[in-house]
Amino acid sequence: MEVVAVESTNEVVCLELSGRMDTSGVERAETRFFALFAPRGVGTVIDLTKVSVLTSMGLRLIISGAKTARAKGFRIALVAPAGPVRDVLDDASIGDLLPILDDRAAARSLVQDAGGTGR
Amino acid sequence: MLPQLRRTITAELPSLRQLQRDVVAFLEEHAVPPRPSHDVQVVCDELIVNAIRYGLGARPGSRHRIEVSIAIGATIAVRIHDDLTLFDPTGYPPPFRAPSIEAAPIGGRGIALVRKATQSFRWHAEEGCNVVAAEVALTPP
Repeated sequence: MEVVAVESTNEVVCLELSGRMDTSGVERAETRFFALFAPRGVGTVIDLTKVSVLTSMGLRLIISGAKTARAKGFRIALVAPAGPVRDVLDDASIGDLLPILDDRAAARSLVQDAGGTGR
Repeated sequence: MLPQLRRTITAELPSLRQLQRDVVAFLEEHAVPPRPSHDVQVVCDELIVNAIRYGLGARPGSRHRIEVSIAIGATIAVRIHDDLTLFDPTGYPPPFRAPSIEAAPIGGRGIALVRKATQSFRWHAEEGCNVVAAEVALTPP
């Protein structure tokens, strides 16, 4: 699993995740994910479009991030177009907990418009 | 004869990485579509990690073996055999459906994902070992 900050400003952070969000992938990339994720405390998009496999370890990372965001008062949104990764998110009812959108632009608008209100 | 992958790994997480590479290569070689390919990878990761995390205890993983076989027929049959502590994952309760992110448990979703990914998911003990057999549909239901 790889984590790249494709945007990081005082208004929004967009992280692009790619590869395997399974046990091995998350253990390798978790530290980098949180290093890029939390410091600014602004609306954050987590783009899963390039993720090839999502297991419960990947869900654990997402939920940990969402809890951190809630505690720090900023909002996050996931990007996951239709496919196996989106199916896992839907099967685990992650959409009950945080917004999941089909494209990055919509997710970016959502986290910016919402400011620090969270869900 | 059905295409089949058979591997034996030690009960250590680093061994899992090579197995994952072999599984991906096997599924690609036999042109398994994206959804069942993803489901087989989820099933392997969840069940093997579960066996190691909860079945190994303080024992050294290098002394224990996990045998994995994947056969492609009308469905994709996954069989995992290990000599770790006996545990029936099919009896694991479904996760709590939390109303908010504050109430959501961090983990505990792995077996639920296996149930979603499979047509059948069974466990039995065989000569003191765990045997899990799961079937993944090759085509969407």
